[in-house]
Amino acid sequence: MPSQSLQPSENVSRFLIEGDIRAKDDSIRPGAFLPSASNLKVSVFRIYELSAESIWALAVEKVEPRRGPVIGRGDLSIEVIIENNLQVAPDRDSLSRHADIVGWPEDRNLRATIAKDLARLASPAKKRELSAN
Amino acid sequence: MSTLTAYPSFGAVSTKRSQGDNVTNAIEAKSSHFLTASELARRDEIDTILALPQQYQNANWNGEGAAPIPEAAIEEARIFLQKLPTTFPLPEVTPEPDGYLGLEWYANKSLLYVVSFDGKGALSCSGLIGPDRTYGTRYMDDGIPAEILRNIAKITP
Repeated sequence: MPSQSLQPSENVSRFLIEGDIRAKDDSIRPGAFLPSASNLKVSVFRIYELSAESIWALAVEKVEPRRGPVIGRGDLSIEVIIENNLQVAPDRDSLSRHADIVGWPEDRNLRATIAKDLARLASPAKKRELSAN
Repeated sequence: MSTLTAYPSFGAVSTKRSQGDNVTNAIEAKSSHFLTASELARRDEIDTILALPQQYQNANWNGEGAAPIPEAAIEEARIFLQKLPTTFPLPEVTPEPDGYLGLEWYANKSLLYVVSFDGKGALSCSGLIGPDRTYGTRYMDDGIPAEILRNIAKITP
């Protein structure tokens, strides 16, 4: 799996769990992009050169053990994250494909508003088709 | 032993009931006597939407270090909704990873408004109203601030 430096046009995926997607219109709830106050990070994965199947495999391997079933994802370009005055910090091991959205403001209300904007930009969610098996 | 906890902006909120139950029940029964059937139905609806699954009151409920939603936040949200004019629709309730309980009025992904409670008395408000962002901290003194009602009205038909 090749690694590459972050590109503004590159997409990252936020994997979504139960409650993160509105049934009404498949839009993403802002809470999916709101960081915990304890670490002010939102975990995402870099998906360059991955097929849809490989992206879901990443979710199964890296996210589901901690968070439970992944039901979908919201994709964002790094460019729009930067436009919101945030940064994307990739893990040192780029092969892990993991990164965090960091640089969140101190003001909780502003954080919540930015989370709404990111959720808007990443909507509608790409829903994962789970087999019955 | 007192069973009431004072919150700066929400007045006296009953959080536990023990020896004061009889008195509390009597007051509620008396006040309920003056509620119309539609007001009682509204209160039932409020109770229903605020009945959060227990998991949200545990730490790390999202697997990423989410803070638990405190009982006091739920009580603040209840008082807020009871003060909300009945001409306004009830919101969706959304637990938030930083330990706030959000009340969300949603029209579409670009038109939504959330009032969030953390059990400490402040209202954390944020929303997208078309191209505009709105956010800030507000407090309930005599009632719901007019600005909040205006913003909810922009979301709801």
